[in-house]
Amino acid sequence: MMAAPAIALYLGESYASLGAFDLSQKEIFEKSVFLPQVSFKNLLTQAKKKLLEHSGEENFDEQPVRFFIVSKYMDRLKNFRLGGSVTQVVETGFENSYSLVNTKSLSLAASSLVISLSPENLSPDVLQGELARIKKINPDTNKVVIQLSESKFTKPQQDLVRDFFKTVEFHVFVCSQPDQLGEVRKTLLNAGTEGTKEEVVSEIKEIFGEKSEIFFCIENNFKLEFENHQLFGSSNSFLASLAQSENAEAFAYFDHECFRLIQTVAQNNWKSPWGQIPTSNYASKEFQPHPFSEVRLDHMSMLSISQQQTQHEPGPVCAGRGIKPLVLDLFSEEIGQLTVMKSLFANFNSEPQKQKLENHLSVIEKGQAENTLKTNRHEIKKQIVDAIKNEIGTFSKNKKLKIAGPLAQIFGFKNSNFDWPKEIIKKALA
Amino acid sequence: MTAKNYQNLLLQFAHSFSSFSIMNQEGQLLFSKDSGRDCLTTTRLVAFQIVKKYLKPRPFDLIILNDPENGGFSFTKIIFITALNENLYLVWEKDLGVIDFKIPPTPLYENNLKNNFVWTALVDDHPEAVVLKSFLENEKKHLDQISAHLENIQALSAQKNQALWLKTSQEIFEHQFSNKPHGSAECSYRLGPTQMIKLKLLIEQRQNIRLITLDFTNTSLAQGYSASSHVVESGLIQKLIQFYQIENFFSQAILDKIKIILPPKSIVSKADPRGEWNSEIQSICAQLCAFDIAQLNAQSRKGSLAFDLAPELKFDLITQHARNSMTLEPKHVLLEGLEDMVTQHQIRLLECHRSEQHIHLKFEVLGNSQTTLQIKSRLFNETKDYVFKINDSATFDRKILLKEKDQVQILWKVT
Repeated sequence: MMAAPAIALYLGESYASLGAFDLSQKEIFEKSVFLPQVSFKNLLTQAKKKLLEHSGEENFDEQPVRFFIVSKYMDRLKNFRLGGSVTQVVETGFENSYSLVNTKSLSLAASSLVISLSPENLSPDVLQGELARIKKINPDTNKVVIQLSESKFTKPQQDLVRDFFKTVEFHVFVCSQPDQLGEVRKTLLNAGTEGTKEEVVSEIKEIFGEKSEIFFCIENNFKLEFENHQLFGSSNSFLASLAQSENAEAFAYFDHECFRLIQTVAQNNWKSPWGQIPTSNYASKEFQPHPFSEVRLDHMSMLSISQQQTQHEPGPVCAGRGIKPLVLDLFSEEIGQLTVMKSLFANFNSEPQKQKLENHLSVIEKGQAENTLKTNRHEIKKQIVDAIKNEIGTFSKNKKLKIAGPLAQIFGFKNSNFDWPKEIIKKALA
Repeated sequence: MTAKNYQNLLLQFAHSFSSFSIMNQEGQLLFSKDSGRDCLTTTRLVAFQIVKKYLKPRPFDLIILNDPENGGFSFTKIIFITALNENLYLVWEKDLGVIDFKIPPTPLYENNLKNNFVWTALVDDHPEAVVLKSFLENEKKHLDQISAHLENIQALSAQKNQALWLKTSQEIFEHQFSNKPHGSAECSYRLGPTQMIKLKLLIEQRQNIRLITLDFTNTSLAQGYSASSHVVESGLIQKLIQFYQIENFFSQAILDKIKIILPPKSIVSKADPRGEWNSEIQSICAQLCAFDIAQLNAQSRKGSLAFDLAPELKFDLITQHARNSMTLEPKHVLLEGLEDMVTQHQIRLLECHRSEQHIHLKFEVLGNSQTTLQIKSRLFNETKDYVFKINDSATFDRKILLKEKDQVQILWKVT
């Protein structure tokens, strides 16, 4: 498997860690970038340059580069409604059925881009008329999810619909069990995330050529073919397998974008933000607070941490990115010592950034109401550490737990030297 | 220990239990949280007082009850009471669909050991013994994880720390109280030609005494439709702490500032043996309270609107192995377990359509599996926006045994 040069890539929600390995599997380049600051394409270009320098242009072109990717990149979509350009073809009476059982779930398709059909009225003319109607609503619609039950629509009728949309150059997704709402959601999610996956794949192919082979970690195996929704579980399944290999029952993983606990027993249903989806997944629980939660004064003028995380853009103050202090900023001294953080942010914890952060935090501290709940950043930080240690302690009382990740040591856990590219290539080799 | 540290320890319980209360030996509420669709803070306090009086729980005892006439809410809501140490008690509840009988205060574990007599009578002979056993053992396991943090429990139970916390939560309440309007407002809801629930809210400060009074005087006497006083109180208190934004400071210091007047044997004070109307009446009273608060808080007092009850439909679909809870409200529809019933071929969807403002659902019961539809709250009139029919007829029965090919139809407006 490792005859060609290989690239191991961890694609997080906000950052990418890339390691390039030569034909003898020796690492020749490693870099992590914060994606709002350095583009993915830029990282790929740097990696290609290193590989070219190392192998020579002639040798480099002989073999396609193989990519082994573990992704959490799709998780950035979890707060959003998807499928703005997805059309649904449904049986009359089942319009937007997937969203009915929980109206607070996020939507997976534009509710107006629905073509309702009954077996009696189905004809090319009807389809043509409906297409013209939805094109008026959204001229950019180019994906269609067909949800027609085999018990109601004959095979020729199903073929007619599918072929019609292929002819008009729609990307066609077919839901084989439209009476199962979870299956409908799954197919809609495949359609709604197609663009995000293609964005990653096309950038790799643009830099490394069409021949590049791109394997994603899906259900603990590196695969070329898979359904888009499976990408959501990529990172958890990878970490769960590492924990399983050490007979641990869970993996407590800490990096700058998430503190989480991943179970090692796979479940058959995923409680996604868009509703229940029948797919294998490893449940995970986020420790509170989120590293990107804001440190601020609450409605009672008390120093507190917001319940909701902020966007990854712009980022922490100590990295010269944001203007609102985050939980990460409280730990700036500790994480300033970590190589991975220095690699991610060029000016991490520099003197001007330290001064800026100090100003922000002291303004918040001094702005607190005068009462017995008045506190300071050090107490808040200690409470965060104690709460996470407490939770880990409760869980690991009777169970074996693997703890790792670049930020694990800031909570007093031993430095595991966890390195994504090396872990990925080890797994790909195995 | 600072008040902030004490609060953090309390909030750690909130990560473990979605709805719970913590009290001390004197019965003072140290903290309470309700996050489900039913509120039980005062119910838990009543359950605690009953258990404390008759069973005197010691550390490592675990007692359960569900009797709606004696500190419970409904048969399916099991209330757990335990002593974490001599001066710290934890009360929480969990739903279990397979229980459909009254459980008086019953010691499940004594000094950390299973009470074999109780387990044999309650669990082993039950047709769903496996489900029941796993449910109860899981809760005990959950409790054991919490109990392992002896240092935290010690800190929470120290009298000095409790006094500091109660003083702090009182200060916070006073601060929030002074920032919100004072005055009075009242409204009522007619249940029929002769029955009515009437609520007057009075928020006042006299010579440094701050008091919130909720007065149900003139509410009709119960005539088969009523709920326990603690059920009504829990719903009202929840609305008040939300209004004052003091959810993370909810303690006895705040409870002491709330006075609730409930006429004896009225709709809002007479317990129903099965707690049949608890959910529904709690919802009505909570809505009345929210309306009064909104009236008081309104910029203009002129031309205040009449109270209009928000439509609500809550029912359970009970099959042999599961109880699936369905909730339809104006802003949210949550039909838990409906998909599982389709997957397990218990029902078949005939219509499942969501438009801009409505949901339309129609399903048919399949096979010979016994399915019971039990209404928990039915607060709406049949109109063009709200339809609930079984076999094309509007139904007002509370418990309906569905047969094969029976059809249930729902039309609901979601804004």
